[in-house]
Amino acid sequence: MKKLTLFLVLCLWSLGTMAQTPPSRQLSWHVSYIANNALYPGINGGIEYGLFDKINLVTRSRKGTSRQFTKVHQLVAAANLGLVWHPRTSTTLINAYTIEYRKTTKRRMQFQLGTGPAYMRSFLPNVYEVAEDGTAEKRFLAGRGYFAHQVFIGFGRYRKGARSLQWWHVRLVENTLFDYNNSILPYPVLELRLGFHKKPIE
Amino acid sequence: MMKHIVLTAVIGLLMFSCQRTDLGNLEETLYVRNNGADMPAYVRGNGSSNTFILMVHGGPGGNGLEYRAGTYAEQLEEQYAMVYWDQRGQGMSQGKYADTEVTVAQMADDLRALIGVVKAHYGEDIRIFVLGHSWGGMLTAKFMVTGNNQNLIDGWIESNGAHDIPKLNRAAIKLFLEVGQSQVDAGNSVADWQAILTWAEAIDTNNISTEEGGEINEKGFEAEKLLTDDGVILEGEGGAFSLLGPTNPLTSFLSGNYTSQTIEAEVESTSLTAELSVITVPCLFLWGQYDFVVPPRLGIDAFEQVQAQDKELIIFERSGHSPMDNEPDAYVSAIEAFIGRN
Repeated sequence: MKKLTLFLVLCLWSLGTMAQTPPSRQLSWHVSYIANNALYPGINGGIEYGLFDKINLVTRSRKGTSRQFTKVHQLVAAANLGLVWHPRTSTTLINAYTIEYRKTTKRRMQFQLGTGPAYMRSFLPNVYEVAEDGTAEKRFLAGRGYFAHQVFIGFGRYRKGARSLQWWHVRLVENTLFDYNNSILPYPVLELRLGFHKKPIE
Repeated sequence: MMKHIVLTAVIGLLMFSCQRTDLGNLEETLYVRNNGADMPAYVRGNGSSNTFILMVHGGPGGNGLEYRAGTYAEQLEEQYAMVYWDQRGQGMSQGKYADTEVTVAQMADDLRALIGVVKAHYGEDIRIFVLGHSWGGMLTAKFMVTGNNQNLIDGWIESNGAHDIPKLNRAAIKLFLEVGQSQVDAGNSVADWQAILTWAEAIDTNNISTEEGGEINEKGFEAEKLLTDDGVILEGEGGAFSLLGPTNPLTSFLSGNYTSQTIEAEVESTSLTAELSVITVPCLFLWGQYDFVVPPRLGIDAFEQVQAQDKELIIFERSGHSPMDNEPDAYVSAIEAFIGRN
């Protein structure tokens, strides 16, 4: 009987802890402030989807009482579209598709590590293309496109039971642009990302 | 489709809403697209003067806006429109091209393209002067001796220009020995100068390697610092690099370094002194007397070589490699007088 009671308690506890994890197999969306070169302002938005999660139920005993908590490991896929802007100089669109390992600790801190392909397109003002005969002709919405590889590392916090803002993350994102001039170019971006979901997660 | 149109419209608004076209106080960015590169040219200053100075930065590996620092830039911008250009593969220049398109000749062609763009944007009747400093001196010299390029401009200002690296290296060693001995005799930073003298005496000036060329450059700045500390050279103004400006320091550093490595071998062997004799447009040569990085010998030779009717050489007695920072007022006065009479 004791074993059955313990089993039932653990099952109920497990259900409860699962409800406290970030959503999996659901779409949520995010917006973020991104910055390149300290204060080059930018904004990023996108959606994410939990592909896989593993919930570890951990029991710790101390001074005769035992406590249980969860650690959540997730794989999250995300699609992002961002824009970095500097007055009178350039505007850059960043489109990235990432897959991310995300760990949520017992204190609901989240750590993440991710990677994925990206594409960056710059839009430059007052571009004049010069022909071989020296004539210069203005080009509208001219710019350059670069394929890139993105990796990021970050931390943040999952806000249990919040109705609107459900998590925040700070990330350092490193984009490596290919075929930039005659080489490659590392293009780091600092990001403050805010996550939202349709329903509050208890 | 609608989303694309809206997105394009928003981007267009963002890009063009802040363009300032007040000619008396220009603050515009033009991009020069030439042979695979998109190079920004930051136009600042007094465009109503109808006189544009194209600033050709040093390096290779520098950027145009590095030169927008100190009172000399403020004074010049009050009177003229200054065009701070990021050369191919440097500063915030971007694009796609092969290593074979990073050459001195290609960059000289980019300068020709820049002139075409500035004229297309501000009018064919504007006056254009080209100011090349350090490595920019080599680039502008190459531009001047190529085809009919010199006819596109109203005057060439070469400031501490490295248009002949083999000659530069030999002249630098000679200058180290001369100035070093005089400083030891005067009792200034004796131990440091003696170390420089020992190093300089060991170099075979008939066979200076690329590595030794790099050492000469480093020792040049070291010697200049000693002279500044001892009050022989006036303290330079310089300027703080702004993180809020258009130039991303990391992008500029990485791009510039790679470009510098790509072009290094060609630069180290380039010697343009003999070719300068084809130049007939007005020329002004500005040099610091204690420039060990590009010694004044190069300025003297360039002055003697060019065939211009109006040519002048000014050596600033209390300056090093950047007289615009050491003696800004005299530097600006020399440029004003040159532009005034041409």
